[in-house]
Amino acid sequence: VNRLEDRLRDAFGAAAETVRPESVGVLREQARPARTRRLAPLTAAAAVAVVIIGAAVITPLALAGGHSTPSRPARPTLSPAARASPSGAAVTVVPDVVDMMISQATSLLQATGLQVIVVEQASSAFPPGCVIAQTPVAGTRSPAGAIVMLSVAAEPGPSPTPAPAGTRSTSP
Amino acid sequence: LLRVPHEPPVWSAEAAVLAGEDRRAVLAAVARLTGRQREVLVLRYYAGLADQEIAAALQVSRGTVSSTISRALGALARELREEL
Repeated sequence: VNRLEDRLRDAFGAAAETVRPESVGVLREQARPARTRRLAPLTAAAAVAVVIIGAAVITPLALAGGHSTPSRPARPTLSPAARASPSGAAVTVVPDVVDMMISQATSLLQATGLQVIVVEQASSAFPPGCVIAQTPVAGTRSPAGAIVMLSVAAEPGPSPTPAPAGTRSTSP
Repeated sequence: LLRVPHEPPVWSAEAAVLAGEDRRAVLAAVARLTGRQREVLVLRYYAGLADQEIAAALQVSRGTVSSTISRALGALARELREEL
């Protein structure tokens, strides 16, 4: 299992380095203070449907410094607000963002005080960038700063070929 | 502190290709899991969240998080073994 976990980290980390210009554009548009800097979306290497993240919240080592990732895949950490802060936190009601475009959904959620993690899924039934599903669902009462995970449609076609796997991990 | 590198120490085109293949296989297998299993794996192995944080993010219990993770890993292991 340890080996499998390593492979997962490696695969996710590598996918994170593959930047899809158009998505990044969307994310940049809403750039905020450093604390909520975003990760570029992960784009899986495979032509198969994929898992991916583009995260609002995650304060990242990842693309922050550009090339500062050595051997280990980036390990973004949640901003303090996102960490379990149980008692006394303000409560917000999660809005319905399904069917919105990701940029709109993200701004709305952030305006509501929530943080966003995006998982892209290949889909031919929805236009790329369209929110297919959200967790937690609309109407849920969540503490401010809680995370809402969005499944967002990505083009079903073959994704752009990522930089050859070795390029990033060349000699230190 | 012993840490076994999971990539060959020396870069070579061949090693790079192999690593790329493995990542593709892993991501493709992850893509075949259920949505919830994928979410949990991404939060754990990409975002690096602890069980408790994942539970808070997804609003499920910690028990659910760990059982989902172990089931997801099990499914993944089966998928990947089939491919080898």
